[in-house]
Amino acid sequence: MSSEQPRGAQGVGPRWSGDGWNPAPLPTADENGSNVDTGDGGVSGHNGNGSGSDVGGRQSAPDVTARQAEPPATATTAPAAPAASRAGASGTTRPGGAAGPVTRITFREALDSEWAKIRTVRSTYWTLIIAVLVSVGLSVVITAATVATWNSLSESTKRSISVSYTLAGVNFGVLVIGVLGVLVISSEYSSGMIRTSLTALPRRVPLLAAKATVLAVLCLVIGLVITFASYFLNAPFYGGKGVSIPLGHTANLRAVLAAAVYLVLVALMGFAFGAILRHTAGAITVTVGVMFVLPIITAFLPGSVGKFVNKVMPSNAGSSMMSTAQDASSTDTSTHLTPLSGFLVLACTVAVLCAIAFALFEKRDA
Amino acid sequence: MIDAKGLTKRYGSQLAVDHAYFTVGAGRVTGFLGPNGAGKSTTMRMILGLDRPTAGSVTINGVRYSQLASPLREVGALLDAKAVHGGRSAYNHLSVLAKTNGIPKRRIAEVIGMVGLDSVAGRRSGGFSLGMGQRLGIAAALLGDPGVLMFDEPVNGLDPEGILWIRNLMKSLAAQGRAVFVSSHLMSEMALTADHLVVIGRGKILADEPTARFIERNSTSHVRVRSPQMGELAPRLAAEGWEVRQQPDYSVHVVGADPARIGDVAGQNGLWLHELTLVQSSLEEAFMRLTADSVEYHSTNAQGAAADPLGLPGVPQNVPAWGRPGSEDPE
Repeated sequence: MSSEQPRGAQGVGPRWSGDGWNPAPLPTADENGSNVDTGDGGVSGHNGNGSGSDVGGRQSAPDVTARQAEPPATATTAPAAPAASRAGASGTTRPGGAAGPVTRITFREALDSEWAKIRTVRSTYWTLIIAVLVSVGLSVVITAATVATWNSLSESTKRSISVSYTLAGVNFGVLVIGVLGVLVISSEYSSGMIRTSLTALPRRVPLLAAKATVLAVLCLVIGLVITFASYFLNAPFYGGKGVSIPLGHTANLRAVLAAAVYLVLVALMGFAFGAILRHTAGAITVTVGVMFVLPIITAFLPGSVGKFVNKVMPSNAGSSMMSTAQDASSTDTSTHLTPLSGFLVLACTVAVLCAIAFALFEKRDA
Repeated sequence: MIDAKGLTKRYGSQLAVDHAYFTVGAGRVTGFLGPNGAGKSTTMRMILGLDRPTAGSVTINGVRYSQLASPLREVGALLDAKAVHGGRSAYNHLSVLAKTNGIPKRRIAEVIGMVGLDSVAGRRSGGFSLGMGQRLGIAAALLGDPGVLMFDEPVNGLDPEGILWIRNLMKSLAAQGRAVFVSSHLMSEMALTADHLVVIGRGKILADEPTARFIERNSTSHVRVRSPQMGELAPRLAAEGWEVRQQPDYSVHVVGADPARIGDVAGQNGLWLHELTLVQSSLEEAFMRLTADSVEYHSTNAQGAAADPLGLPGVPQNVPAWGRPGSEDPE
């Protein structure tokens, strides 16, 4: 029954001023007269008894337009009038709307809207600025502390210094980025905006997908800024101490890029928790708990199972993503994942959480 | 137009909306009237596809909301004026909505002008007063120049000027040929704006008819009679074929008679009258009676009591249905 132009009654009556919102033709009075009482409730909802104040001339207008535009419906169905009413109701033949051409919402439009949403609230800027300051700042602080105490460091420690030292702040920056991920969706619930968003775009999976995409792309860009800034600000200090961490080295470049991907994955994890819990404080608590508290607990788990559980924890998997062969820890596969498995484990975790979030978003009442 | 067919929503054991059939036609204001918790908001959310019906369906111009090609061009809805991100400016809020439905920028400025928010369009909506928030919500509803408009309790909390503005706006939108669906728990408000009424009580549609007919059908008048000789008078009045209802304050309500005839009967029998008053029940009472009946099915006293605007003591049935325990809003 649907069509590209299921316009309602808006084909009638004077429209708002403005060039693109032109008046549509008014039906003439005699055309409607015949149709008022055909109302099967289909179009006018008119019970055929007409309240005195009804604007009779307009109320059955959809019938008229339907009839004019779609003679076949009238001709082929025996009780012609109701058939015409239904055709009108289905909106198959509505004249072009006053609002310009109506086209089905594209994913591109959903992305545009979500991009506009994310850049028109201050919380985005604040969280991103804090994420950059925390990530880059803490990396610099750690580097400064390391360089300042250089002479007291053991030789093995000096040998283990790798690109992950320059990216150390990212381990804390992920938390802020995770909060941004939560806020992007949970703020819609706390404000009630989600209901407005869903009336504008009622197809839920595309809506949530557009939101997640915009978040991921934004976090990837900011993540690359963070990781490259961290690298370029910190590597020279180590270089000055004779520890060269060249970006030309594939493993180093991969670690810098992986750190940005880590930030994106945590943003999406926060997003999933936000969508599942629909509550800002709750989702932030869970995100922080999973990223920071859970690993502390799992670190104490005994045995090989305990070690396995600990190494697949999101924050540990994320740290593994940024590690290189030089890291002392990375050589012990019983306690640490390889960079690739770290990425796969974290990506799968986030994928599962997102799948749950999408399923719930599709199913639940908004 | 909106067409609900057997629309049902169940929350656990509670039936919030119970097989609702109604239509909202173009070119008029349809009032959606019901006490708090009757299922109005739930119904409106189902129309917009926000809540999924347990059973039945509701379509807009023959199409489910979620299947509309460009929903804002078809339906403009104001469910909750506060359903905006307070950190976003009014202009940006509208811009975000416009982008999804391919609505040109020019239109944003237009609707802002229409609702009179020009001077605050750049301000964050979190600082808006209720009236300004309501205007922003209406601007969003008008954004797509839709043929169907829905307002959930639009005048709640507004000052008289705001109420008048919304009332006139709804009428003018309907006069332009649009279908306007507006919910309220105030019959008096609906009597002023709505051409057609859909009355809901406890999730059931109690009436779907023109306002004028609803009033005619539901409002009744009675004559309040007091007499020191009621014991003799009452049977004589009943003998005339009128319904005589004993009231707890020792008056009687006579239904179906005019005061003059009652006076004649009293005079012919030499009986004293202390009061003879024609009580015309208002629209509000008609509404209360209707919704009270939907709850107090078997209470014979409820009808008479509900019709008395004074709220006589000792008549518990006089408490409106939605004031009783167990009728909280499920939403």
